[in-house]
This record gives sequence, C-alpha cells and structure tokens, in this order.
Amino acid sequence: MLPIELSLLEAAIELRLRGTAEFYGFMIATEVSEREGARLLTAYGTLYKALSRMEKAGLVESRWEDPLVAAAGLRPRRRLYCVTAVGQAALAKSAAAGRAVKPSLRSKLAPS
Amino acid sequence: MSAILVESIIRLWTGLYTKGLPPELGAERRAEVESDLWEHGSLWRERGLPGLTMQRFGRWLLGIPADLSWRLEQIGSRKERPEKVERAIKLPTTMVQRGIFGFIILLAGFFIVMGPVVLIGGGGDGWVERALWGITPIVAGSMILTGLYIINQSPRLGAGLLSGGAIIMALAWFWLFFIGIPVVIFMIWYGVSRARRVGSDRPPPGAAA
Repeated sequence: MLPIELSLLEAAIELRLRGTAEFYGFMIATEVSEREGARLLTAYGTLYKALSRMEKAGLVESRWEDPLVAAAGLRPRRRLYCVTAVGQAALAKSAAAGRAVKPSLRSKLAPS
Repeated sequence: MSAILVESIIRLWTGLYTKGLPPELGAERRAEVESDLWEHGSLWRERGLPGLTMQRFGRWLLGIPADLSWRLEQIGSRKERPEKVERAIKLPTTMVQRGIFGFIILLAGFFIVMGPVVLIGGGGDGWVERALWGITPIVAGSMILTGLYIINQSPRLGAGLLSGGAIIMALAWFWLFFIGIPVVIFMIWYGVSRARRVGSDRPPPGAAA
C-alpha cells in the first residue's frame, strides 16, 4: 500500500471512530492535513487518483450523494466514500507489519 | 493572483485531462473537483482563514503529475479502446519524428520545472512578479504537453495549444527573439503539419468504422 493510501485509510478510520462513517474528498484531505500537521492540503490529483486506485482495489467504496440533499445545502454533490472490510483489514495488516500506523489507532483495528 | 483566475485554471485543466475519456468517468472527476473547490472555499470563508487562492493553486500544481498519470492509466486499462483514443496514444514512427517529439517534450518539461523554481526562489522580485514569471512557463509548458498529447485525437485543439504555448513563451522571453522566433515557427509548423496528417488519416464522414 502506498503511503498516501495508508494516510487516507488511517484518517478515514479515525473519522469513523468519531462517528462519521462516510467521507468526501475535501473532508479526508482536511483530516489528513490536520493529523500530519501539514500546511497544504493533499493535491487534487494525488488525492483523487489515490481514492480511485483504492476503490479499484476494494479498499473503499463510493456513492454519489442524493442530489436533493446537495440542493438543500446549496452546494455541488459530494462523492461519499467509506472504508470496506478489505480496507480495514489491509490497514490492520500494515499496522501488524510495523508500518507507520498511529499507536492510538492500532488497538482499534481489529477486523470487524 | 486572482481567486477566479485560479479556479478557472483548475477547471480548465480538469476539463483538459478528462477530455476524451468515457463521459461518465470524466464527468465524475470534474464533479469531484468542483465539489472540492466549493467545500474548500466554503470552509475557508467560514473560518476566516487566509491564503485560499495559494492553497488551491498549490494543490493544483502539485497534483498535475498524478492527474497525467491517472489519465494514462485510464487509457492503459481499457482493453477495447475507441479509435479516437488509439490515435491519441500513437507515437511518431521515424527517427526524425521521434527527435522532434522528444525535443518539444524536453522544452515543455524545462518550462514546467522552471516555473516552481522561479516561484520558490525568485530572488529579490516581488510576490506578483514571482507569481507571473513562475506561472507563465508552467501554463505554456502544460499547453505544449497537452497539445502534443491530444493532437491525434483533436488535431485543431492540439495544434492550437501547441502553438499557443510556444507563442506565450516567445512573448514572455521576447529579448531572446533570435531563438524564440525560430522555435515558435518550428512548433507551429510541427503542430499544423501533424494535425493535417492526422486529419488526412481519418476516414471520411459517414464511412463505416
């Protein structure tokens, strides 16, 4: 798994632990930047290419938001992603292999 | 740098690299970037954070290589490519053609690399000068590369981008006219002749595929 994919999965799992099961591109970019203390958010190309690759690999799945919800918020539709069981298992495997997964997250990565 | 200009550059770029993809795939990527632009602007305004334009510009610039490689992956992953896409990835065959192709790619690559160097280490120049002299070669280099990439698929647009990029460079470095003018003439000639060749290869309208 590439470092960007690992970062995105970690951030997504943390969001889920805080009660947000689904995320969209900008939300996960913000989460990653806050976790890593980066001043610049993940680049558009890097972010959406990584999400596309992760979806193909079955690590995340996506759906388009209901247009009525977006219209009610007076904003464009969001593409909502969620981490699959495969994604969670892949992150747990990375943690077990000693990769740079946050210690606080390691204990919570038992496969569901 | 104006926020509207940066938003327009990002939209234009997203439109360019998704051009020629299956409609649904291209539309999805454009919609995701559009949503991201909106969310970013909305959150920054809500929190009163500074530097939205530079954040967006940086995110766009640093993502260009990933955008291009994603685009190439989309072409590579499709087993049955439509004739238009087959044409887009057809490379020059003779040594001379390959040499010209390589020279233009090197030139465009040099411009694209030079841009961030000027932006980051522009010496004593002011912010506006640095942004102008940094963005101009990036835009021109990207136009040249994109033109070269799509010339088989959209001959007129490809030749236009190639020529436009070359003209922008020649105007920006007008004091190097003795090099710039021959290079511009050469690139316009290359773009137009290649576009004509592609056009003449195409089956006439209405012919069976």
